[in-house]
Amino acid sequence: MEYPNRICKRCLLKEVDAEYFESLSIYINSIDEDLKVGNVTYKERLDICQECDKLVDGMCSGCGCYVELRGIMKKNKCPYDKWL
Amino acid sequence: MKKLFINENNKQGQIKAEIYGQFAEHLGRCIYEGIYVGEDSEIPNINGMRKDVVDALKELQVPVLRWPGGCFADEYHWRDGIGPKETRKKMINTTWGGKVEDNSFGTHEFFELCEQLGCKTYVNANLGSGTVQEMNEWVEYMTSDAESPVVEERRKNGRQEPWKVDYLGIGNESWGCGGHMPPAHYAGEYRRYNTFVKNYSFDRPIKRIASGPNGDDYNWTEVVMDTILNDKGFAPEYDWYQEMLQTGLSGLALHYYTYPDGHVQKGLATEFDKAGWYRTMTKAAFIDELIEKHGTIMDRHDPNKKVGLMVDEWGTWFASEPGTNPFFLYQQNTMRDALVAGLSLNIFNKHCDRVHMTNIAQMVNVLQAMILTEGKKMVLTPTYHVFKMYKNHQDAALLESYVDGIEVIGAEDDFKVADIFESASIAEDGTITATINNISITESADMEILFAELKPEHVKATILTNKMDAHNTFDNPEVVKVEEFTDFTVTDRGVKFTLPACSVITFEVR
Ligand code: SF4
Repeated sequence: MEYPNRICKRCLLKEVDAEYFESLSIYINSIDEDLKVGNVTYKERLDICQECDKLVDGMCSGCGCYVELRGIMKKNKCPYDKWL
Repeated sequence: MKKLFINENNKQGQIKAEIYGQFAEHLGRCIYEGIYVGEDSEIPNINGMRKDVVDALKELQVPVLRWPGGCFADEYHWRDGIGPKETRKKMINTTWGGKVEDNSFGTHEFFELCEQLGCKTYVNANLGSGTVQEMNEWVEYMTSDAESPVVEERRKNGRQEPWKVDYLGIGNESWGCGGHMPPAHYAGEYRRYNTFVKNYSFDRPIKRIASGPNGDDYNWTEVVMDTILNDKGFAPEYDWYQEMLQTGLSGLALHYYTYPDGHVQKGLATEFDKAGWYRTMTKAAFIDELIEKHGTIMDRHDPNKKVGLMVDEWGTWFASEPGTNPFFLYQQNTMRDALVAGLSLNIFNKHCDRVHMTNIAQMVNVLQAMILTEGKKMVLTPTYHVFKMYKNHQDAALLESYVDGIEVIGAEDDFKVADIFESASIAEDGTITATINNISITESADMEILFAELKPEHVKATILTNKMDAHNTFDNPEVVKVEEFTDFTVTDRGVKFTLPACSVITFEVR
């Protein structure tokens, strides 16, 4: 059931706080490419996050991380093992 | 050779178990995810409480838990957190990151958690944005057995018997997030609110705790103690009235955090140099001076030390881990935190005449935590291990002890600190526990423990030692762990050993 006054939760940070996202993306750009996943995997991860109940205002409530940063790193895993 | 003298014949007071207390606030992932995941979670739980976390905490013998804040306490309205969960009010936790608080963890869940942990309860009530009626009714809801509408409501919500509230905080940080009050104003408010906090059971009176000073605000202590304890105004019967109703002041809360690089520009928990290490230790050790000085003021108003100095928020405060919500205060925990915990607890033990409780901030996932979680995973921090190594001190008698040969060390002139901290206690069964810290990150120390008369027959020891920035991660959770320590010689009068650099060690002697 949809509730009209329900707070939209499943947004990425870039949709919630453009300014903070900007500084986060500068940080993401500065990370060594070898440590990062490719664009396809990155998008796959973020698509899964956007369907997930744990995503609140761009942040995964399972780990407290902004998923745009957590998702880019090869070494990182979804705390609930949802990423492929 | 350094000498640690322990006089087992001179007991200096009881180390209240509450000195090893914990704090859990509605902040970041402390309560939600860290402790409470709800009954339907895929994470194994009992009535919504994570089983792994509760089991690990039980090993620490948590004596008391403070809840729901912190700053959150003064914007918490208890009625939002009772009744069927689906109808509980959602609010924005404006203090901590604007997160939606769905109130699924409320009064009943708090007591359920304390029952699972087997610990005492410390509820911090809302003075800053609440009302006298609200606080009065919450206490009635929790602790009364009378036939009243409020108690009926509790029964309807599934709890027949009253709970026990051991400690009640009347406001929190009322000098700051709890209302920005001057001390005399707060003390007046405390008296007004306290009047309506009733004891519903005289054999289980609630111990009342006033909002105390922030760090070295000695004026706060002076004014609040004087106004609460001495200013009788036109009511000379104030003292006997309080005594009869058992509503007198039991504690004054002191808050003190260790920020090695200042409150504004904080460094990361895992990235620091030698100078950062000694700055941290120096600032943590400053709690000794704070207790002395606040204690001296309290002595003037309360010479029999009936009012405890409750250090109900303390610990390290670093920058949040990169990429995490900065208002969630999620930080890693290294050997640096272990030594801060070790030296602080030794200092608290030595001041057990005045320090009746402390609550490290916080239990899970926030600041200097015992436990970190990430989804289904859990990791025990170096601080957790120190609490476990010290648990014999709970309710034991403090013994006279001192170290001959302390050196003052550090990398910067302004931040020098003693190299060794220690305390010793004797339990009812006669076991002596000595907890010793070597603050130096480079120098080991030859040491001999010397007792007054005791000839040790049974000695065992454990140690926590590693590189200064060593820490446990979800992928590598056992980098820092407690190990048995056997490299000692038992002598006629004590024990000889070498204390490794950057270490916490516990001896148990009989
Ligand atoms: S649990 Fe996994 S899928 Fe869900 S928001 Fe967090 S990282 Fe994304």
